[in-house]
Amino acid sequence: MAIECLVLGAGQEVGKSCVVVSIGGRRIMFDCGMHMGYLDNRRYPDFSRISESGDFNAALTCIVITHFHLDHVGALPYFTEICGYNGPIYMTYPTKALAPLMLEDYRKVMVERRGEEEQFSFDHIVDCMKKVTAIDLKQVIQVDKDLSICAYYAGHVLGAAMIYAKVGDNAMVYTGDYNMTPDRHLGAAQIDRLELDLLITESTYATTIRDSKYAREREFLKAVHKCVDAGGKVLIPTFALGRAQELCLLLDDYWERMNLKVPIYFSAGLTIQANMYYKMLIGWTSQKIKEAYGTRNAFDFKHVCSFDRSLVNAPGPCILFATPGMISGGFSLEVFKQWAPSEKNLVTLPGYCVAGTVGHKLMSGKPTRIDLDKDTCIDVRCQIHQMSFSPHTDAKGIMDLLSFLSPKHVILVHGEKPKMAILKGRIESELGIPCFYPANNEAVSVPAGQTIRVDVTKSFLRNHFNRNFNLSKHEPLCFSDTIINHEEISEICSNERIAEGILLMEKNKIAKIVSENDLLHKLDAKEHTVQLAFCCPVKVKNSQQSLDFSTGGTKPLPGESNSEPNPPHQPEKLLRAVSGFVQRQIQTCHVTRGPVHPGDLMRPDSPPDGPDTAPNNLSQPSEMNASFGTPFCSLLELLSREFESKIDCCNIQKTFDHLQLKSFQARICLNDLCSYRIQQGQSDCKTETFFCCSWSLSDDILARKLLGIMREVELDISNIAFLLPEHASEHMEM
Amino acid sequence: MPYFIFYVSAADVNGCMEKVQPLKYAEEACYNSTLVLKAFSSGLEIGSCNWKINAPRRNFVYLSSSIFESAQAIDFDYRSLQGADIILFSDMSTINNIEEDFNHIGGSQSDVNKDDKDLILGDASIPRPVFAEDDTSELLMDKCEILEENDKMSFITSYIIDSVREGGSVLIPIGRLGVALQLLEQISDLLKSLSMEVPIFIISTTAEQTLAFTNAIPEWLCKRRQEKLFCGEPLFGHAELMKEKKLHVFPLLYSSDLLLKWQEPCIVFTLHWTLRLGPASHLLSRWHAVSSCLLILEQGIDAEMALSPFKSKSMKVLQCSFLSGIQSHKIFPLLSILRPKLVLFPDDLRPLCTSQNSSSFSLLFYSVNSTLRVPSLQDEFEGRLMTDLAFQLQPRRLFSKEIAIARLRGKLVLSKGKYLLLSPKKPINLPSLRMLLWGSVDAARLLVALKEKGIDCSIENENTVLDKDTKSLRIKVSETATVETNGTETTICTENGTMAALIHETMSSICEGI
Ligand SMILES: [Zn+2]
Ligand SMILES: [Zn+2]
Repeated sequence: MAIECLVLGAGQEVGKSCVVVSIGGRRIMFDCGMHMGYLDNRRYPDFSRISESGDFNAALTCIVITHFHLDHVGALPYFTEICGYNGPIYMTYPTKALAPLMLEDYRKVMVERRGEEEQFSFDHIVDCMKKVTAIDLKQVIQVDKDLSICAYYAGHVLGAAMIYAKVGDNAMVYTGDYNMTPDRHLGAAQIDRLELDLLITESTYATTIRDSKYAREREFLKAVHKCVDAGGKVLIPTFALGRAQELCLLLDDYWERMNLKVPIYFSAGLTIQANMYYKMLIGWTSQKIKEAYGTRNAFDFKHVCSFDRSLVNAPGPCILFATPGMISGGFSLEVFKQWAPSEKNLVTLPGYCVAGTVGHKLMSGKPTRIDLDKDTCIDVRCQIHQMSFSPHTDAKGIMDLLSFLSPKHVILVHGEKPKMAILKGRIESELGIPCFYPANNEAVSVPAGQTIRVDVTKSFLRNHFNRNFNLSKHEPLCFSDTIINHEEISEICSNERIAEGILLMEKNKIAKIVSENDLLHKLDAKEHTVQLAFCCPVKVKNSQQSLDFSTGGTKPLPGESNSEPNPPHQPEKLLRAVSGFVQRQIQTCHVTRGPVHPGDLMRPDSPPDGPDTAPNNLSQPSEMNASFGTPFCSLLELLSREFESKIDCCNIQKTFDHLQLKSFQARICLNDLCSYRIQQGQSDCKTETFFCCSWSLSDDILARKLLGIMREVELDISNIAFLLPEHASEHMEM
Repeated sequence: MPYFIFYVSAADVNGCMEKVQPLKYAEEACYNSTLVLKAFSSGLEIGSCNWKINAPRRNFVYLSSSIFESAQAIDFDYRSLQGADIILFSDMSTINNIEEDFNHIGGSQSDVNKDDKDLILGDASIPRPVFAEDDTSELLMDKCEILEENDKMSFITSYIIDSVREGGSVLIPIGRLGVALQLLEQISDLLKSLSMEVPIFIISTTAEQTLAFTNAIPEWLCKRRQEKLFCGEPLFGHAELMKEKKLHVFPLLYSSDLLLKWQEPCIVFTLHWTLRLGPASHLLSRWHAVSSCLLILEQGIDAEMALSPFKSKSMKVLQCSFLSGIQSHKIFPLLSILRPKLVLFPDDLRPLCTSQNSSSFSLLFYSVNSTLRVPSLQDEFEGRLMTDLAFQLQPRRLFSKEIAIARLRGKLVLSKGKYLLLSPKKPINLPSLRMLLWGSVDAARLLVALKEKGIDCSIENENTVLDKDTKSLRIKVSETATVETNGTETTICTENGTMAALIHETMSSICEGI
């Protein structure tokens, strides 16, 4: 299944953010913004591309708004009240509280000041907001059975959120605008390490790396302080929300520290009202402000005084916050006209101004005259301070977020095309993540993985974890569904370990992953065990003295053979002991899991306890260890050393009578009639001894390798003596 | 003055709280990829919750005292608790009523007696009063509850106002924060509408912070108060009252600031509800002999006991009980809406159970200090298989049953209590041979099959082993291999790997396997 992403706004531009994402059969609209730079139909996203019939309720599952800026929420009342969208809309509590203020402020500016026909009315805004469900951060909202969304803190402005959306196995994040560094009133963006198929991120500062914000804040404060010290007036044009509060916090704090008495005014009731909201929503601000509010709410500004229009021309210094931010009209323009001609005064400008506004003209060069229309022109002699701090992340922040989340695909929006192209290059080359930056009305489709719901049986998991525990030389895991065990399991799961099992599919049932035993049980069948076996000859030599080893099996027992004139060398003695032991335990020469084969049963000198119990004799190792086990082991020890030196294995298990690697077992076979000896010509009895080997099919490749080694090597039994002392005690414990 | 030992210091409390991970409602908290914990509002108090906990093969809901509609906190979010296998029901708020009802009726109301076996198995086939879910939610969310509470509040408030009118002061020990806030609001509203000027005091070291806090947590409050946020009004009226100097908040009773503002009659909210600690005990000693004064006590506190240190008491006492959990008649309709398989129910509340009302789920009773073993309700673990891995499998239909099987190799990951099988980074080399065979291998058929493959073979000997039923046959395959089979076990003996594989392949062609 693919995730399809239709960019209706903020594609290779900043403005009217709106992205429609189809994911797992659901269709979500992220943001529904307007473009402040256009007055014609380009101001809104082209909604007709969502649904030609105009049935938006059927075409969309829900709308999620990231924050209250108009380029993200501005078209919402139009879409709900005029276009008729009636489905669910989600935004955070602060956004739901503050968005209507922004919308109403904008509507008034448009209607009253530009004399334009209104796109939506006050009632439209109210009705629209009634349809909104407010959500909290990190709260997992179940939009429907399959779709869940979750908001993460984005910094940027109060209540800004990054939105995580998940349908079944597919997941994505739409960041909206965000800030990766904390500012005076907001924290930095925060998100969990999510598994994402797609990340859609803003890229306003796709190529900029910004230095410390505090330096630029100090600059701003210095400029303001200098101006009021000299008796000047400071005009701070801002939007009512966000920047106004941030700057006011900055000034209020500075005023307190510097003990300044110059009044600070807010021009609009709106801003004062907005402060009320900020006080209630303090939980969404920075940690510092949150911690302090129990004793004093930082938005109870101490130095802010109530404002009256008559104060504009009152003598003496003052600070005035006035809307709108880019001096495009309204009260900020009114005050600007009066204050601009005096060089004592100061006007601050926001970081970004749309072309056509007075703010934009002031930013481009330092004009001395501004012609508003044919009748009005303003003498500009005042100081200009452009603020360069922005609540958007810089390029480093974007890259940090991407490498933290490492999504499978990235789509860039909310930026300028050339810069986006550069950032895309970096993302693809540095992070290796495919990246797109579609233009408006373009769609991008990215592939996304999917899963099938299955049941997993206990026995399958037990096999898997047991196997891995053995691999990591742990004790076998006693498996149940208690937490303690899962703790260990999840640890194991962090490494890539391959689980093996069988997928069992039954009609009208959930597919099940089972173990082999589960399958047999299900089929009510018994396993037909297949063993592989081979009684393999291995060359033996004694570099110290030649030795008639192979006859050990038929020679008299060691106790009776002491008639030789010279006492034998130790190795010989040991070998005699070995052969004696083998004589008694002749039945050990059979495949462990295989049938008791005829060769064994026909031995003339079977021990008196009879063949039935013979295989069980092995269950008394301690006695045998004491009498014969040690030398016997040593031959196996020689073989196992050969194995260890030729193949990369360190976990050969040795017991007193056999060695084992995975399912491969080898034990000394002194039975000439062993049914697993395939006679291939006459073997040289004098220099060969036999190891009866067995293994299961799954280890066939390994076993063939080991057999190859056994065929090639020549075991030097004179080495047994040197082996003996250091290994004796070790073998005793087995 | 009673003497109390404080077992923990402020530093201990802070140290403890630092270890706490705060969560939002419906936030997913993962413990160790295995447990997923989520809290949902219970409506009892601001921030109080019920828990939904998911683990592999287990999931359950811890259901504590809950209130469907609250005047302060977010309502009881019971819909989010739907679908858990097990509900641990631990709302004990009805326990007092049960004892009363029970004594009253004489203990015969319930048909589930103590002697009954512990597990009542539900049987969905038994006809029972069927509630459509909507009807049930209507029953659960009926307005009666909140109206009743409001009536109670109005009654208490008017009683308080009457006392003040007669010149008596009123002492309200703070128990539940929500109740205190609501009383404060109602009292000040009524005073305002009657144009009465009676000072209200809140005396507590944490009051200032608590009041500030309540006005900054819209996300945690009921719909009615959230609406205030969207209208730009304060969430609670107390900030305004303080500004108007109608409400005075002091950390301590004895402070010069308080003495300046002090004036009787007055209404005082303070600690502690036991009346043995804090300013409450001091004010009680001042007012207990004044017949016009009033003490508001929550039910559950023994008034006689509480006032026993004061010999001559003429102070009026109003005892009131506020809703503190799920009403008994709503418990089973609620449980049936939550659709659990099993409910763990307090033994003390057993009288509430009738076999009729629990028929859609099983009941298991628990009591204090005894461990209850809860049967496992799911045999299998929940898992997911990535489709790209599934596409690499080679399923094979088994002719005997309507089953298809496929060997599977994948990377196993545990995430949020679910097992996920992904494609490993390296290609998954599925074994070409059938590694597991079942059914019997008929030697004669094997011989034929081997011969069909052009392999020279013959039966070498036939041997009846001790076990009479199993016949062991030995086939000599060319000169380099032998095969020994007794129907349930086969041993292939050869040094030649290719030959072994060939024999095995032949075998799997004549019996089932994977
Ligand atoms: Zn923004
Ligand atoms: Zn934006």
